[in-house]
Order: sequence, then structure tokens, then C-alpha cells
Amino acid sequence: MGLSGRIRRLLRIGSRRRLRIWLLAITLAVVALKAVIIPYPWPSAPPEECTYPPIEGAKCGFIFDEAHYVPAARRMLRGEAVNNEHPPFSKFLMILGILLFGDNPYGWRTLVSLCGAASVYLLGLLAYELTGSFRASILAAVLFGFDITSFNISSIAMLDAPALMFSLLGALLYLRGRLIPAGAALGLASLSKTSAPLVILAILVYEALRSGYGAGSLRESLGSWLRAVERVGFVAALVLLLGLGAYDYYYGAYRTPFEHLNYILTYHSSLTFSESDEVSMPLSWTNPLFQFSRRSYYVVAVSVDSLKTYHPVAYYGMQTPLWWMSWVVFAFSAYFSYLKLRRGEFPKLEFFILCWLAMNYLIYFPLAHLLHRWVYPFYFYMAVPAIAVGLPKLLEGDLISEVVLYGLTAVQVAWFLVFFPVKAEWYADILLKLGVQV
Amino acid sequence: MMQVDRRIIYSAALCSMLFSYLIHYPRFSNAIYSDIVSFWYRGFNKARLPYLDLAFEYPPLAGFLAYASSIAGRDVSSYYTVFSIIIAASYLLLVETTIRICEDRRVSLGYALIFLALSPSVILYSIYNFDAIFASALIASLHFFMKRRIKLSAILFSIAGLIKLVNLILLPFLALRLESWRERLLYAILSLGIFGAVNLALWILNPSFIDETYLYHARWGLENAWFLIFFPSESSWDLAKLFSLFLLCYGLLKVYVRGFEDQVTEVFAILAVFLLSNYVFTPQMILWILPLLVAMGRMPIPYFGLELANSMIILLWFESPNPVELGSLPQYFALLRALMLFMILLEAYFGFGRVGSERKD
Repeated sequence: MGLSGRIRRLLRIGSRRRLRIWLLAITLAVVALKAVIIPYPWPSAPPEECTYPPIEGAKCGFIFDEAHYVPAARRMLRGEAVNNEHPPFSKFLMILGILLFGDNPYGWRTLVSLCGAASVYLLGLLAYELTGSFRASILAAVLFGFDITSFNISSIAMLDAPALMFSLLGALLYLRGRLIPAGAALGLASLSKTSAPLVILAILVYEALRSGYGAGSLRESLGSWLRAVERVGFVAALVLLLGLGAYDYYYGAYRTPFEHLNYILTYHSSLTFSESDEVSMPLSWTNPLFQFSRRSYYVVAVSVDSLKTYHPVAYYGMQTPLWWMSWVVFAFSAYFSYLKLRRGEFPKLEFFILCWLAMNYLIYFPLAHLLHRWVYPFYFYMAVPAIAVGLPKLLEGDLISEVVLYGLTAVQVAWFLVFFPVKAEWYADILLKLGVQV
Repeated sequence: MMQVDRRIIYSAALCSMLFSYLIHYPRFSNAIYSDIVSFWYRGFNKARLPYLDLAFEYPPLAGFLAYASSIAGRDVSSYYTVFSIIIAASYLLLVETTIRICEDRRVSLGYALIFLALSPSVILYSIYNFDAIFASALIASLHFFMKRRIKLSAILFSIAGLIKLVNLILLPFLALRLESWRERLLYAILSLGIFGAVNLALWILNPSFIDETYLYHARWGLENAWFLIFFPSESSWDLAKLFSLFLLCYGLLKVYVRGFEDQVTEVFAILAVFLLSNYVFTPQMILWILPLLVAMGRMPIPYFGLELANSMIILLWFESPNPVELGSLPQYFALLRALMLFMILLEAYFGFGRVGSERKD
């Protein structure tokens, strides 16, 4: 066997074991990239000055909403019940990190970053459960792992990465028929971030469609769906309530977890904007022609002898090539669902994607437009996995569409490299020489 | 279960009615509270027309009966007496219907004696509110439904809805038991048509009618609901109501999926689900399920705890500074009552202790 044959054999993914190895390799690459950037920015002020308001984000080394969550984690460590409008689990991970690695960026960000990286691995497995295609699963993991905004959001001390990791784990377990562990994982997701129950809703809507398809009667279909609701939904609710209850008991925050939940819901429904506010509406998250303006989460500019200016640290929230494909994935999923149903086949992948997108993206349209609830583009992080899973499978098979798929994946990775949030000078120089604005 | 002559049941039920009449009689000192008396002082004493001159939170037929009693009686005593006669007559009708159902199902009449005549709830809560009248119309409707006299059943169902509204949750379950779509449509049109027409007429006459009569209940707080333990602060009661709605939907779905063969058990399960999930579970509501327990032909052990707890709620209500607050004695008993009812519901749901050995064949 020649060298090319050996390489081809090495790269071939012909088994689940090899798929896991490939996914692990991609995940480790993501871990390595995350590990490299964790200390940037490093705080110049001591923790004592960055715990109680007023907090100066730049001096404290906080990126974006870290200014809320890191001080909250510090105060929780001192026994104070704070930031009760958000569930506590992600903050507990930050606290654990602080206890393990010290009160510094390593402490705040390491465990959250690991959750972000683990999401890449879980997404690959989830893609395989849905598509049955090794190649589509690898591409899904690459598209998601190298989605720059998702990478940024999941590398900083925010609530989103643990929430998505547990959501993906829950979805994976659900698809494998392990409903009670799935419910437990989704409960931890809900305990990490308030928006995670939308994933549970997506799964339950999908389950309703699955139960309805091929059931002999409405009663049979409802019975099957209710069993899933009990095993997934109720277990998730129980984990959430037990978690909130433990928090409330320890910190003396609320009399019951339901009252805590009431506060969370009341708080979140009160976050409404007025006509004069500038809001990035949900369509601007995915529409490449009318994009929301790029959000600078943390940007440092450096000028070298007036010859060049670059940004050694630049965390952005922005659209990526994958995000542009959202409506394509949505439309194709709807169309393929129709075709499969006509053929008498249950559109597992397509329905799953449609449900996930409906509950984690489309739901923000009525929330923003009708209820005037504040929405932010980084909410799309929870929807990105559906696009990443759907796109490779939908474009797989046909030569031209595969060219589009690989081209898009290349652009996605290139986008990632250009907007990678921390750049060494040599790297910035290369990009500058290539004519890329950094 | 022992065999009982129906005359004994009637006599005992009448005695219970009389006892109930006496313990709530407004002229007696230390009379036990009754909603009927409170209605009098809310405007019926001035002969004000309910829904038009006077906001009234019960459906139209309930208001009409209260109004008719107030017109027939000149003062609170005679008003109360007339009202009590109406209730007693309804209750005897309920007893008769239940006995007939028992005979059809070959269930011992001993259950009727215990549940409909000797239950403390009957004594404490029959001359109290519209629940005995509601139960009477509902059970009569169910009786005729089982006899396949669909039109009469639908009319009685509508009458029940015009007294308490709650029976509307039974409608889809009843409709599913009808064989053809034509029958289902007829049943729905008759039962909802009469109900709708009366309400529509009142709405036209008074645009605030819907708000004052029905939406009023949406603004009411938690009262004797077991989940007060989860929502002790009033500020969280909006979420508690959502929780209540969720429980109701879940419970009704479970009943539907369970697919009860026996219609009486199904109706019992639906009403028990409603009582356990609703954010208001006033003690007189227990009267709705007693005739169903009779017809189910079973003597659930938790029934005794249920009755004890249900009775203690009113007996301790005015002894507590804030009886609706978590930690008050009535709320402890409300919790115990919910637990007992839940146990009876589970027995019915899983078919434990079925009637076989209790039937008189």
C-alpha cells in the first residue's frame, strides 16, 4: 500500500470508534485553542476591587457579561445570594474553577471553556445519531467547533456553554432512548441558564411529532408522548427544582424553589425595550444582507510605531458563514420533511432541526416583535448546533452541493482564523500581509 | 356492604339536610358560616338583580336561584329557608338519581347511605352553596347519558354548567363516548347552546358580566390548594395559577390516555383531577364526588381522612387569624385532604380495590 493509500486509510471514518477518535481530535484542538486564550485579558485590579459595583470591566479583565457573573461567583463564594435572576449552576462551575485554579481568568473560565469544547464532541455524536453519516458528523463538529462567535461565547465566564453542553448531552441521551438520564442532563442545563428549557420544549415537540407518526390512535400517540414528558420533562423539572431548592436553602434566598423560579420568570419578562432602544432583532442574526452590527465584547488596539495597528485581544459577537445558512437549512429541512412524509418515511433529522430551530431561534421573533422583550444575537448560540448538524447532511450526496459544503466549511474555518480573539504579533503580521484587517 | 332500604337513605339524607340547615341557620348564635347567608348581605337583601345590578361570581342559574330565594323570603331567615328547601329538593333528587345508578350497576345502596347521608361534608356543606344543586344536575345528566337519553342528558349538563361551569371539562370525555359525530354534535350544541345563549343574553345586557362573573375567578388567589406549600407568598401566585393549569392539563391527559372503561370512574377521575389541580378547592366541592364514590361501589380507606380534613377546614377557618396562609390549621387540613383525595384517585386510576366483591350479586 502506497503512502496516499495509508493516509486515505488513516483518514477514513468507517466505524463509531473511529468517529469518536476524530471527534476527540477536533475537540482537543478546540480545547488547545481555548487554553491558549484563557489568560487574555488578565486583570490589572485585584479581585476586591472587582467584586462590588462600580466595576470597571477593563481593569478587572472581564469580557462582556463576565462583569456580571464573575463578581456574582465571588460573592456567592462569600455566602451571599446574588444574581438570583439566573439559575446558579454555571456560576457554581466558576466557583469550582476559582477554588481549583485561583481567583483569576483560569479559575473563572477553565471549566466553562471545557464545557464549550465538550459541546463540540457531543454535537458530533448527536449529528451521527440523527444522520447516521460519519462524514456529516465530522463536518458538523468542525462547523460548530470553528464557529467564532460560539467559540468566543463558550470561552468566557458566561452561563451559555454549560447550558448548551448539558442540552446537547440531554438531546443525545434522548435520541438514544435513555429518557431519564436525558431529563437529568436537561435539568442541569436548565439549572445553568434560563433559556435551556427551550431545548426541552424542542425535544418534547419533536417527541410529539414522533409519537404521532405511525401511532395507531390519538390515545396511543398521546400515551407515548406523555411517557416521554414524564421521563424527560418531569425529571428535568425535578433536577431544576432540587438545584434551586438547595441553593435557596444554603443561601437563604427564597422560601421555596418555586418562588425563586417565579422571581426568575418575573425578572426576565420585565426586560422589555422601548421604541427608542436599538435592538438587534432576530432576523438580523441570520440575514447576511442586513446583519446586526458587530459587537465588541472586549477589544484592545495596539499601534506599533505608527506602522501598523492590530488587535491582540478582540472578542467579537458577529455573524459567521454558518449563521448565514440558517434559512437555507430551515427551508431544506421543511422541504425534505415534506418529501420524506410523502414517501411514508419519518423525517427524523429534519423534524429535529425544525423543532430545535423553532424553539431556540424562531421563538425570539414573537418575543421581540410582539412582547418587546430584549433579545441579543448571542442567544443564537443555542441554535447554532441545529444549523451545524443540518447543513452537512442536507448538502451531502450531490457533487455540486458537496463542493458548496466543503467551500463553506473552509470559509467558516478561515473566518475563525481571521477573527480568532487573541492574536500573537507574528500571527497578526501574517494576516496583515495577507491583506486581512485584524 | 350491607343492604339498605332506600327509605332509610332518604330519611338519613333528610336528617342531614335538616342538621345542615340548623347549624348554618343565621338567627342562631354561633351559627357556622354559610355562603348562602353571605350572599344575602351582599345585595340580595335589597332585591338587586344579579348580573345586572349586582356583580355575582356564579353562573346565571345560581344567581337566579339566589334571587328567587331572596324574593320569596322577606328577611334573612325566610330567604335562607327558601334557599335551603331548593337545595334539599335538589339533594333528594341527587339521592334518587344515585340510587338508580347504583341499581343499574348493581352496587349496594349501603354506599349511598354512607356517602350521601352520613358524610360530615354533607352535613357541613350542603346548605352552604350551590354545590349540592350542581352535583344533582350533573349526576342526573350522567345518569341519562348512560341510559343513552342524550338530549335530556345534554340539557341537564347545560343546567349544571349554568350553576357551576366546572362540568364543561367533562364535555370532551362525554362526547368521545358517543358513537357518531352526529350525536357528538347534537350533544355539544344542546349543552353549550343553552349555556351559551343564557350567558350571551346577560353579556348583551351587561358588558361587564363576563368579567364580573367568570374572569373574577382568575383574579382570586390560592384557597385551600395543596400547592400553597410551593407558593407561600402571594407574589408568586400568578406562577401558581400556571402550575395549576399545567397540572389540570396533565391530569386530564392522563385520564384520557388511561381510557377508563367505566364511565363513572372516569368522571370521578376528571373531577378529582380538577379538585387537586385547581388553585381554589373550597370544602363544599367535595359534594361533587360523593355520588360518584357511591356509584363506584367502593369504600376507600382514605375517604375517612378526606372527610375529617374537609370538615376541619370550615370548623377551624374562623379560629385562624389568616386561614389562607401557609402554616394555618385549615391549610394543614387542606394538605391532608389533598393527599387523601390523591390516594383515592390513584386507587381508581390503577383499579385497586375494584367493585367486584362489593356488588350485591
